[in-house]
Amino acid sequence: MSDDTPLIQTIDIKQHFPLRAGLFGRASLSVKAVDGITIDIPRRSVLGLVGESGSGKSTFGRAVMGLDKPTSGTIKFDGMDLALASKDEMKGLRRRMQMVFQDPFSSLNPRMSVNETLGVPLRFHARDLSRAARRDRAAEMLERVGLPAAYVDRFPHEFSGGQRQRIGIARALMVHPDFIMADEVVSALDVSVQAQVLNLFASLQRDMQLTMLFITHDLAVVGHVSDYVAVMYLGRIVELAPTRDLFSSPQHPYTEALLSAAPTPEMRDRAKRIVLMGDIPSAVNPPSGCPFRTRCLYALDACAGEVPALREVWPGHKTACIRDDLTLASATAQRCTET
Amino acid sequence: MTTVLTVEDLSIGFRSEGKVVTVVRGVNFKLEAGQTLALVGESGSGKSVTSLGIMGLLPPPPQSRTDGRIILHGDQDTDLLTLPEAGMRRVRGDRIAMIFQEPLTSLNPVHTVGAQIVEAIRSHRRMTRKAARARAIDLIEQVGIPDAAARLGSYPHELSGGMRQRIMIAIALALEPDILIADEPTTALDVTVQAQIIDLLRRLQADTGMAMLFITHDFGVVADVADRTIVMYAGEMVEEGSTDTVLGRPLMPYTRGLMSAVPKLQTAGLKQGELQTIDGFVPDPANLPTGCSFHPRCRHMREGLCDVPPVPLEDAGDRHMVRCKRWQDLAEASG
Amino acid sequence: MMTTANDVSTKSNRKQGRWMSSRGVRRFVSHRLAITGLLMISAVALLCIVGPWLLPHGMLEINIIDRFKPPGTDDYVLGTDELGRDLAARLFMAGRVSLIVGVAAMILSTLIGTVIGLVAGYFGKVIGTVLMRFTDSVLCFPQIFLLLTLAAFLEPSALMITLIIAATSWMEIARIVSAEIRSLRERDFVTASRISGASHSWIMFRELLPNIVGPIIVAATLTVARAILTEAYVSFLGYGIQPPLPSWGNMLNNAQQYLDTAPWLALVPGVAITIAVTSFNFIGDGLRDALDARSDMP
Repeated sequence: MSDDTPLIQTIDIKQHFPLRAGLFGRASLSVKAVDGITIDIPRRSVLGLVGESGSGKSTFGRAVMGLDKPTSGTIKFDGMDLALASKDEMKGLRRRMQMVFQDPFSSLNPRMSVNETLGVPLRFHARDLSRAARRDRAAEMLERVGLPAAYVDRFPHEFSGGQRQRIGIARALMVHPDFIMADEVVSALDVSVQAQVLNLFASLQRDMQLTMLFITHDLAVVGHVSDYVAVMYLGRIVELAPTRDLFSSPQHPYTEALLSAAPTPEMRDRAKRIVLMGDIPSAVNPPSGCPFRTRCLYALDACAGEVPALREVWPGHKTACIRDDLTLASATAQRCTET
Repeated sequence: MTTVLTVEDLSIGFRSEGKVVTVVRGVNFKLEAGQTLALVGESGSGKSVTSLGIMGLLPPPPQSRTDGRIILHGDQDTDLLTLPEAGMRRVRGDRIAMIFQEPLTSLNPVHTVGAQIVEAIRSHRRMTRKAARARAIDLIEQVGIPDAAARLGSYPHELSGGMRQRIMIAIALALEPDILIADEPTTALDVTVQAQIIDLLRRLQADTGMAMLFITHDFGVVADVADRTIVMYAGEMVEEGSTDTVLGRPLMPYTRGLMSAVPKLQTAGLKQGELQTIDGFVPDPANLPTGCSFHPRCRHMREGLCDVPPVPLEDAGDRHMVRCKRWQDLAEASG
Repeated sequence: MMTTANDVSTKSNRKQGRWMSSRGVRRFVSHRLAITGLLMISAVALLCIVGPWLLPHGMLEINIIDRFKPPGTDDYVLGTDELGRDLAARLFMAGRVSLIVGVAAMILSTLIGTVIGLVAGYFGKVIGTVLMRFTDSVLCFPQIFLLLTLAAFLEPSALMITLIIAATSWMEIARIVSAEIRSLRERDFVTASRISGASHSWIMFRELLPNIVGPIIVAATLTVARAILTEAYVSFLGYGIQPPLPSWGNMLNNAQQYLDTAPWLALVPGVAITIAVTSFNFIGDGLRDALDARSDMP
């Protein structure tokens, strides 16, 4: 595949989970967790996927990783359709896509030493390696993620949350993948540890030329690590743009509200803050038309009609809002300058 | 301003394998009516233990040991630490209420939210069931839940996280407490819902004039809610002041480190390189470093100075307190 | 990298094993009943193994003159039965049979239960539902009914009775294992393993199984106690181990007609059964406290 095709391409991914209704459960209702996502992740870039709980961001991530088969849609990795890949091809792809998890406690097997945990991917993708060679690789990778090589024989309970997260990162890197899906990897960590792990991600991404899907609910984090950001709401992407562009000139009212609600320690004018009303509607029965219209400050009658498609505002910046007459506040505009 | 609670020299320790490990040391503060005081720190800083100590919710001695005084002001002052459990039960809910991070675990799943609010009211006030019910509807309306009467019949699992936290707030406010302790009340919530809850708390505080003790790890939330802020590290107060001063002009290297470790929205997408980090770990409370407990992780550490006790909390002017022996030269160095 | 405060605190327990943490061992040792049980059952087992060699009479040696000697007469420590056979010799030999049947039935039923529970818990959905409904339906039959029916149709022997007991006592372990696995399989490390390319069987046996060794051991210990009891009452009813091979159960069967004239014939095997069963139950309780503590499994 040529170098400028995106490493990951998804075309109209839908993931609907049927709800059991009654004894003979004819599934008439379903949770539309992901409802039509088309997105590309260019090689060696980081796509940040940001959204609140129930937005479908993790479900989408699992579909991309091939963990759950989507209800419909196509996922291509390096040009190859995951659904059409043979068993052998799939195995090759598995090695190239790895994942780092949110919960540093549940992501490591408490009964396995670091050496064993890091050896698991090698057992299946580098079968000819001896036990000793696996151990060497594990020790090497441990140093790479900033832990002493001597820790290979320790068990998970001997580590802090941040250290465990490093081990989780090391495991993902053991088989030298091209693509990493990172799902809320810093949200369980303390602030100072979070910064360490984010720095580690940034340096590994650069050095190992990784392509990344970085899923988080934290706008500031996504702004720090991503090249592009996609904002999800109720199973759909409502805005997609290069990071700086998204933060400095958001084009979707939901993005504006998120930026406004995100707490930051800088001085700000509280009165200008946008506080959305209500909760995210149910994904079983989403509003007609624009999914955000029930909470939107700028909704018109027309918003209840068609589901708005992503339209390009200017090259690279897409929004799923029919209103093109809005001037929305940026991340910086809402904050007073410090005196 | 009236002071409603004074915490004097509070120390809390837990017994572990025969030894008492002190996890909160020499904490002093005052809560003023209508004001919000934030306790900020990372896990292990002692901020939550402090709040449990005030509520009298620590395991009884000898599992825990509490020293100092927690004085609840009123018609007459009472030291909560010497109050027997029966008296403490009257204080809890009635004078001091508390809300927690995860409302689902603090609500009883088998009772409707209405029953739980009514129960909270009737356990402290002589009131008919009917009157209590009316008060419950009133409270649910106050915390911004639409269709209050119908909501009384809902079970906790039928509500969203934000709604549940509102119900918890309604229960906490049922008896019009003088003090509300909020322990990470928005940490489990989405940003847009967090903004709603913070707004709600501020509005309720303005209406009732209660004092709030707000415990959080998030400086962003602190900026939104707090009038005064205390930064805690390894069981001690390391910086205290008005929120504007502490966040705008932090003096303690730990506070500065924490603040610069958080990615900023303003610089999003600029790829400004590495975030500043604080190396190392929070020390083991059984094995604290001598002198300043932050000194092994501090980039401004001076040997022979920072590792020598005592390291007192010094006044940097305008009630801005800082526990750092080098705050003066550091402040000068940074202009 | 960094100086670590935790390093110091964790160094002391570095040497601890994989699943049996030293804390677990300490908890077990401090459990008085469990240690009593362990000592008692060890003593019983030891007597059963070496006892028959130390006694002057063999278990099949008939001395019509010495019929119904009460315990302590001559060199008959526990007396004799209606044929003048040494009761002690018979008791120890019977103990070998009962203990072996009990332990073998436990091993078999644990294996069956673990595999069924593991597969049912791991796959959930259709396979899991089918397996667990099957388990429940087996559980619905009264065990004694099942046992007697099977025993009536099949040639009774020590091997057969072991198989029958195993076939009727694996269900509880299957349920315990499947419940544990159902919660464990949601952990991220299972997903991580899948992403690493691990097969289902690898995940089940290498990732998940080591995490539930504790509960399985506890259940298995309690199963031994129940298997011994089951063997005893099947044999007591005459469908189990057949004379002249003695077992505690058929010794009791034999004893019932002499209950008023020679009560020791019933008392001796009865006490043996009680000691063995309670010992295993004590050990099981102790192990439960020691291993089941979720504290070392975050």
